[in-house]
Amino acid sequence: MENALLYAVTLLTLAGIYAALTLGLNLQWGLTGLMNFGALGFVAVGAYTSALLTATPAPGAAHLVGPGWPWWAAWPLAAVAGALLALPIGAISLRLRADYLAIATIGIAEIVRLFVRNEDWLTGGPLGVSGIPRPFEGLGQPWGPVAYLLLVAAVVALLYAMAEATAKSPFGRTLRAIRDDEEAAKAVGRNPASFRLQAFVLGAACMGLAGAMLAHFFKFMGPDALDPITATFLVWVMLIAGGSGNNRGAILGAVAIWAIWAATDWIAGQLPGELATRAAYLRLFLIGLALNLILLYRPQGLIGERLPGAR
Amino acid sequence: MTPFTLSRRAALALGAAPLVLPGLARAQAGDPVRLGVILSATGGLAAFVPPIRAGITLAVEEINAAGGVLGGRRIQVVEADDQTNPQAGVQVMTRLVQAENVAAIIGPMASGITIAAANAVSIPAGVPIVSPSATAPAVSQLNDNDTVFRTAVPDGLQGQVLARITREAGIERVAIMAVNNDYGRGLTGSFTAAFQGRGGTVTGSQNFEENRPSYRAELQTLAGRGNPQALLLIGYPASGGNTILRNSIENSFFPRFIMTDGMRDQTVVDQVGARQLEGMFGTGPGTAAAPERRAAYEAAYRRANPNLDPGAAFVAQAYDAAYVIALAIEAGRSADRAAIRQNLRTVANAPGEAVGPGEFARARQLLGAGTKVNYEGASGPIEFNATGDAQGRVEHWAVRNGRVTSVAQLAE
Repeated sequence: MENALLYAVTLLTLAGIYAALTLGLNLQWGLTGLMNFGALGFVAVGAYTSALLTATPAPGAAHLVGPGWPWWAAWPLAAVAGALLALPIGAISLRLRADYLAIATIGIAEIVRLFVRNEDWLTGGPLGVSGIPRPFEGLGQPWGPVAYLLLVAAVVALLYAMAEATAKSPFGRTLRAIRDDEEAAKAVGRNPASFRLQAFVLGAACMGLAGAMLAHFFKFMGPDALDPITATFLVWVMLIAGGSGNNRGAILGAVAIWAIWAATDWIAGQLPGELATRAAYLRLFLIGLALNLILLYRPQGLIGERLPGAR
Repeated sequence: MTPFTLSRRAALALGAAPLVLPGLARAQAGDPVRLGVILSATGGLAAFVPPIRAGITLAVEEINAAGGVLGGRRIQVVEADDQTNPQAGVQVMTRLVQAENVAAIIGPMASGITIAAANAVSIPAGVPIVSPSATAPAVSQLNDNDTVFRTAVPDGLQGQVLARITREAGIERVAIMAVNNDYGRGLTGSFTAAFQGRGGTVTGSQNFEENRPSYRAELQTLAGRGNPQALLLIGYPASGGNTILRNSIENSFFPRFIMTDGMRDQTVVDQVGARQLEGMFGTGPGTAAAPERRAAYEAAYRRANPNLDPGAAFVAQAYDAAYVIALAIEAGRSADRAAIRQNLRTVANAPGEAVGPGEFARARQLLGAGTKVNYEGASGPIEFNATGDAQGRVEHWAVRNGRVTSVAQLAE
């Protein structure tokens, strides 16, 4: 029974980390209409920042040995690192139309991935960074993971509160106005480029923080762990399934899609040998199918966007 | 608008349904002993998996046919796919350890995934894992409370043997193309050190990214510098290895090729061309098994799987991993994780009455009578050292008459 509880805790922790990512993407896409297909890059920068600042050097490790800070000092810097990566990218490419931004972000994510794979002196190259401490590990088996889940939940709650406040503020209304009708927003004296940049940077900070939580959960970060399917594609599916533009929808989508992802793995495991292999290839297909069905029959997601004041 | 859209409540119910599903996977106390198996069924290593899975299945079927463990309990395999991705590896190992309650785990296959998943899951939980194919030296350095074992031979030894047979083939200057991951970099390092120690020169070394359409630029640079006599290719066939061979042959960049375990596959010769590759050589996971033990394993494997190769990379190692775990359960008279951990060395290492592939019934009788057993496997004698590594052999293979042929089994 204790093991089953621990498994549920693991699932919920990962769902929570994805919720932080999805909240970041919701700020960019849901609220502002920025098509960011490079979540992977911001996750990677946050993850490596926190990993290098906190890791205790393992024997034979090639990466830069950091100062060994505690997690609570490193996590905010991971968010700052995500924001700092977004700032120049946004400043250059946000003037582009939406689809060009999408291509630019894919390119950035790929550059970041190749950078961490090849700059051994900093990131340890393909060997990655191990020896990343997980907060509350000292509490032992049942309570350590539970405490980490509570920490992730607290971070998600904080991000949610901030995202809600943003969405309801005049700032959030301006973002929506720019998303829905840029010319009208300009006509009332708003500068779209500046507002877009702020939303892009804030969203990237959320992604950097999510990356840090991911690295400390796995206690390991390497280039093979940075997979566009799980770090970018899945996040988009979560946001669209949950309801883009709605912060609660973003969180719900993250939890529901992650549960489907985990359940398909579990179902595949119940099948006998050869079938299990084939089922593994079916997972991506199922997620894609779910996305298509949602777009066809429930285009606004599980919970659609609700405009403030509208009932 | 579509004619049919889901109501909000129905959509929420649909979204919540999968949350309930994993709860069904609750631990079952009771009969079969659950053995976790983590393989890279999808992703970069997928091509290696079918013969390895068949090897594990064969061992488990033999053990169950001989009456199982602990007075008639069957061994039940619970398989999971790590997608050749450390993150997925951590996730599926969490499921095996926490939801499926496995007693021990065979796998994961790749070194990076083994290190990540062991650090995050199996070491804190105290679950013994035996990898059949994680070859990076870093696996030995894990602070693992004696929970991480491997039946694979570490790459340090492969690099030394490769350097020796290369020098013995009269080659002094070698250029290296290595896949850009822990495997490619680790093997490049151990080969370079050993090769230079034997008076050889590495004229250039390039780490390549997988799945590129062409490698001509890199190969041209390597071929043009220091007049290399051969190219050492460390990689996998489908994700770049075959392309590198084709590019090199088309442009006559290198007169000879040297390869490692990742490229030891008949499909390489079939797809690139037997005439061009004739006489090429390389190293792979070897066997130090006594001939009769190896023959018993190969005969049983061919009977069960006529279309698969019992000599394919890491298959015998996977078969042996299942055997030592089952013997450890029997020796400790318990499927408890800590008991298995303590008994793995007892049943694998000398001294003791030697038992081999297919002899589980005899081993159980011996253990029941209080005699110590020493498993001598299909891949070698399987003696775990202090860091949990099996002491094995490295195979020297070559392409002869269009076939990948075993030349010798070397210990250094």
